[in-house]
Amino acid sequence: MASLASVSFQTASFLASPASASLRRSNSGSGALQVSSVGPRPCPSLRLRFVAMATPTDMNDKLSQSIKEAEEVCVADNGSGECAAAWDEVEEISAEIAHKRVKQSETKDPLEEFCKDAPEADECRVYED
Amino acid sequence: MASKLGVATPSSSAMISTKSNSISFSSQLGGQSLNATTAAARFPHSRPRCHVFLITNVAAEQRPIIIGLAADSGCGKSTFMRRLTSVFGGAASPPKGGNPDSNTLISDTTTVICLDDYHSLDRTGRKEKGVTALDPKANNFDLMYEQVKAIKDGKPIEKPIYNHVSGLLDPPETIVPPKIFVIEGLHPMFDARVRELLDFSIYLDISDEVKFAWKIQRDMAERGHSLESIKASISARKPDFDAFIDPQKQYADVVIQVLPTQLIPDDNEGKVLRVRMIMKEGVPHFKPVHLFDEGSTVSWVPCGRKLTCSYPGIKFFYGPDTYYDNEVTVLEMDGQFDKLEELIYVESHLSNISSKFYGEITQQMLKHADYPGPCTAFLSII
Repeated sequence: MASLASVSFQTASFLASPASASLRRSNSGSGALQVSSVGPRPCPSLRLRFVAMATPTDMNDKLSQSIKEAEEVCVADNGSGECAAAWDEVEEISAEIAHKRVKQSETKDPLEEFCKDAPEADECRVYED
Repeated sequence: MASKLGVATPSSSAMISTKSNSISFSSQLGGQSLNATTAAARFPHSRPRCHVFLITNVAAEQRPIIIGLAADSGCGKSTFMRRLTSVFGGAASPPKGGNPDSNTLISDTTTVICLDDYHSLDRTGRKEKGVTALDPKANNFDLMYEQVKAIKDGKPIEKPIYNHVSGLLDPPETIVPPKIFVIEGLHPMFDARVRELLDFSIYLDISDEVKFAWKIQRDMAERGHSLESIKASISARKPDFDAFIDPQKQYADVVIQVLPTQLIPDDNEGKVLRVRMIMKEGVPHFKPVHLFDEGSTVSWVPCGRKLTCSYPGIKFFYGPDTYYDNEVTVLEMDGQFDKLEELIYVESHLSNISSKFYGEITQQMLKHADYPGPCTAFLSII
């Protein structure tokens, strides 16, 4: 999944319960992967889920944090390299957030996604005369 | 041969390698940013606008064509590039099965890499040393030169990946030489050796006012940002930008300037823009487009009895000029089109775009009108 960069661990109990099954499906959105994993965890039904939604929250936290840092550094020493580097980091994170937002807003048709990887499949046949 | 872009189609491999192929490139820049981060969301009501220039590729050789694209938005140009590459042939997408945070885009004919991958310092390293990503000290130009040269010589490379999410340098990915190799980033024309390798170069010059308006639109909704933080971020980076990035303008074959419109007094929304394409004269295989009469100066308002335009209308300018001691041709457009279909009217008056048939460019633009965002870039390959 090209656009996913972070993993969110959701509690096994929430995911595993049947009631949440439909919620799980609707949460899949633009490409959630479900990988069953038996890690060093006591609960064998823990699932690792790559969720697109986790990324924006992480990045937004990073953004708020970097803005605070930049403001602190620049109060101390405006015009220095450290100040410029701090604001440069803010710019980089903002750009990445916006970039991801655009990628996700390009609404994904599940069939199209499937056909990108398997154009010879029956479902992907195109009839042109 | 008509491109596979709208018309029934010879294979894309035929497009580039045949003698006297020419590529005419038209980009609509719209009220939209050439910066991916702003693409779809920001100017939903603005219309595309059109600039045309022509690259004639007479080479019959198989060596990749190397194109450099410079601008300041951290490889956020990729929306622009994504459309461009899909127009060159095939839909562009990140490498399959590779690092999900790769910045590379690959289509049938084109590979676009992000020069941020050549950072020698990662985000933490830059913070420690107090340098921005704009500073040459944060970039490995030796590696950049080596790898672009290898691609040009037809050899595959192991290119590092700069992960914009984590701010770290990830393990490398393999890139094989494509027909068209585009390097986009902050410093494609900074190093003289890399400059020599470029067959064509483009510099996106966004004026300060437009940059500010776009960044506000892009960032204001984000938690944490305020007008002050956006302003501070722009002004803190400006010294390095002016010192290291801006001077690359003089080396570019085409400079695309995005300026505030002159048609709406005191406009600060930035939805209608004035876009100027400054094309260097005397570049091998590149003939600048002209309007009506090559070498003359023309100011043209197409709106009138034959073409109806809504406010604020459209204005074209074409003429010769000098830019950084180079002879250039300037083609400029201010305003916005009312209907995409009316572009055909304008297309019929643009000369030297070598489209195969009347209306081809408009057809391409119509085909790509549904691309995300109001701005679509298109290419007619003949």
